[in-house]
Amino acid sequence: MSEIVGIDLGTTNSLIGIMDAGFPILLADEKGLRLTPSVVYFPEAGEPIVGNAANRMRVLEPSRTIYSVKRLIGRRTGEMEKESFTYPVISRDGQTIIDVKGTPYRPEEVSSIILQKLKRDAEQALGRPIGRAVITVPAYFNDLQRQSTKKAGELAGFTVERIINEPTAAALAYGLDRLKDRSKIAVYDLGGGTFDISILELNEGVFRVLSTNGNTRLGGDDIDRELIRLLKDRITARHPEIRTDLEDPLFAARLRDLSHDAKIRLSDEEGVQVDIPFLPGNRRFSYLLTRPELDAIVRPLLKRTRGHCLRSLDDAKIAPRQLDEVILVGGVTRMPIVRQFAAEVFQRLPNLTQNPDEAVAVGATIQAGILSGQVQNVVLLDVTPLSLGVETFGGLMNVIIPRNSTIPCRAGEMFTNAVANQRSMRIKVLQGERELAKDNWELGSFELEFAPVPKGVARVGVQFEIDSDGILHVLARDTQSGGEKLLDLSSAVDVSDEAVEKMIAESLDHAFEDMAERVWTEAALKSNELLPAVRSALTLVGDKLSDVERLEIDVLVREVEAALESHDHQRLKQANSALDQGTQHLATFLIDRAMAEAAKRKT
Amino acid sequence: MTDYFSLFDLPRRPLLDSGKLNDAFARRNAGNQAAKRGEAVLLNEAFRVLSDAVSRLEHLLVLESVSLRGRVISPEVEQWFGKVAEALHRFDEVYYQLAQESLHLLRAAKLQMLQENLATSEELSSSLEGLRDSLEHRLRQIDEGWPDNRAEALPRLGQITLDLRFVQKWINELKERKLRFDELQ
Repeated sequence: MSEIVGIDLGTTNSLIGIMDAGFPILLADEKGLRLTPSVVYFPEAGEPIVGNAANRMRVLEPSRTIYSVKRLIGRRTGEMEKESFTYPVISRDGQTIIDVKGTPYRPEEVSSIILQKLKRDAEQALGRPIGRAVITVPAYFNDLQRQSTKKAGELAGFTVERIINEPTAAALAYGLDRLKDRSKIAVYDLGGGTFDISILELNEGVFRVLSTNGNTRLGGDDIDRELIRLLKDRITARHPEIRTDLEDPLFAARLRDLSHDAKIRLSDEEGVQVDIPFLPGNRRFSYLLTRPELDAIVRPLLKRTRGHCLRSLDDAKIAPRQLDEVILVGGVTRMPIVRQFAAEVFQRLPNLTQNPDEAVAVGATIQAGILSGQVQNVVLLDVTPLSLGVETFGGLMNVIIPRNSTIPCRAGEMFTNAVANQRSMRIKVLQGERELAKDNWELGSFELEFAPVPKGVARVGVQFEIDSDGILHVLARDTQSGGEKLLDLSSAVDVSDEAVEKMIAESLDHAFEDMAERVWTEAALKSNELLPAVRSALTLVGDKLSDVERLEIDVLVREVEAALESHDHQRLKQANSALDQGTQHLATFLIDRAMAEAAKRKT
Repeated sequence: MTDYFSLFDLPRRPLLDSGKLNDAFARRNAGNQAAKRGEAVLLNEAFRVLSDAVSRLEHLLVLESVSLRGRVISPEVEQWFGKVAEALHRFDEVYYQLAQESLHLLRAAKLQMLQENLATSEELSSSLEGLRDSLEHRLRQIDEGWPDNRAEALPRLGQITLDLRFVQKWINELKERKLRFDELQ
């Protein structure tokens, strides 16, 4: 059987490996580096440049250098947040397109360029061609994001044998199949762009994924962004006159590199000197960034991961003390504060024996070895991270495959017509955990036609199948006529994109209607809610304020009351906002009180 | 309809030892890598059904040709329906408002409201857990007499399954709200 490579296609870095005499080895490029930055630079003429060389171009040519493309892959434009990339991301016919000086690229095309570079390096290192690959994706990736990743692999000339979840790959890399039977493992993966938490159980050499949870929009990039903001604030505090120059893309890219380096060095050092010798206007800036400052940025991010960890444990029906092992994956987990946090949430010290940057690639390589028959006695079972279902009468989500079902799997349900003589049924395929269909992600939809019959007589079977790549196939069949339809997800998604675009356009059309009247109504509603809330808060925790503070609030309350009489929307908005500022301290006491009461019940 | 119990060579009865189920699943999977995908699909589905108490009971009832159609939850369970629905609705309403709110004091006031709602939810949860324990106790009694009491116990088993399904769902829903609240801290 021919060889298969394992690939970790990361947000920040990518790696490739192969089984050699029963051991997974990661392959290096011609400079001996194993970690390839997932960055592509498109020069004005010639072939695109990938990796470290491209990374350096981010400073010089930010609008031609594409990074973090994994954040864009398989995303619909309607749901993209306004994010700051140094290159333009546009929407064309509902598709996310990266515009490199007039040349459009789809995210999967950019990813395929990264994969091509990995393929070339690996072939060079091995001295023979390779054609088959296992590629990893975050467990939280939805169907479309998985399909797009597979497409990227195919564009790069690979036969993609398997798409596997990153956390399950990492568990293989840590060699956890050698643990005692029934061991339970938490995989905490905080990478550049995504956060995943998975709970696994080992059963006689078989990994079983008990649960998985996470967030596709949370990671080290967020730390970089906050750190840049902090540095910018420090610069403008010292040189207020150059505020606008800081928005220059060239400068932004340079600042990003500086802060990224500082972040990495702060894992080992307590303080790092950040030097920018040539600020606009020939000024220089030097600042001692300390670990506590960085920790203050990281803490809220970690706090956001806590809920995902708790849900995952809860879904797996285990308590932290039942875990036998906690492993950390992703470069961010080198930070001491992250290790402390993981130890605190899971109530045990994490296993640090593997290189957190390489664990996923090593695991992918082992999985590739399993598929090509070089490794035996390990079976990896993945689960689906989100529930899959269809919309039913009344706009409700009817779950067909519940979240955390082991894949591959198949499940189905029968439906009937809600109205007599109905000629067709629209089947909307949904992914998510919310009760209402509209709150979930719509993967696609299609019509199934059948002969008109009285209400409740039609019998339509809908079957979902998730294959071992985690890709969904939907089959609907009218049992009377035998007519059936297989959902073509990609074309259905295109249709929805237009709908999303249209929805956004319509909401903009109405945005400017009756502006002043709406501002007044909204502000008045706010005041009428705020005034009684202030009164009740004063009764509950007013004694904690100083006399002066209480007096100030009193004045602000009277101004809101007066503004309400005036019917002047500007004045009311200002009064509301002043009262909001003036009652911040009061709000803190109220929150403390609520949290103390909640904590009291826990004990 | 495939009998998932016999697929794993397990006795067809209301209660199953989870350790034995895990063993059986691992046994069936071992050396099974080259097996057809169809079988992996079936094994996974069987494991999912058998490892969850309610879906296992539903499967057992199907195999025993007992239909739950037309049956309603018992009055002792139904009395909680309105209270649970209201608590969940109130929580979600305030939680949604909190997510939209930008003024500090109103956020604090809403947090306070959520906290009070949670106190009610927790009381409800512990009542429901008591109810679940009692249902499970009845289930154990049936299981002890199994299979001699089969004919007499099957209708009762149907009722317990239906009741347990609702009670478990409500407990999970209430727990989800508690997690959401904890996340806010």
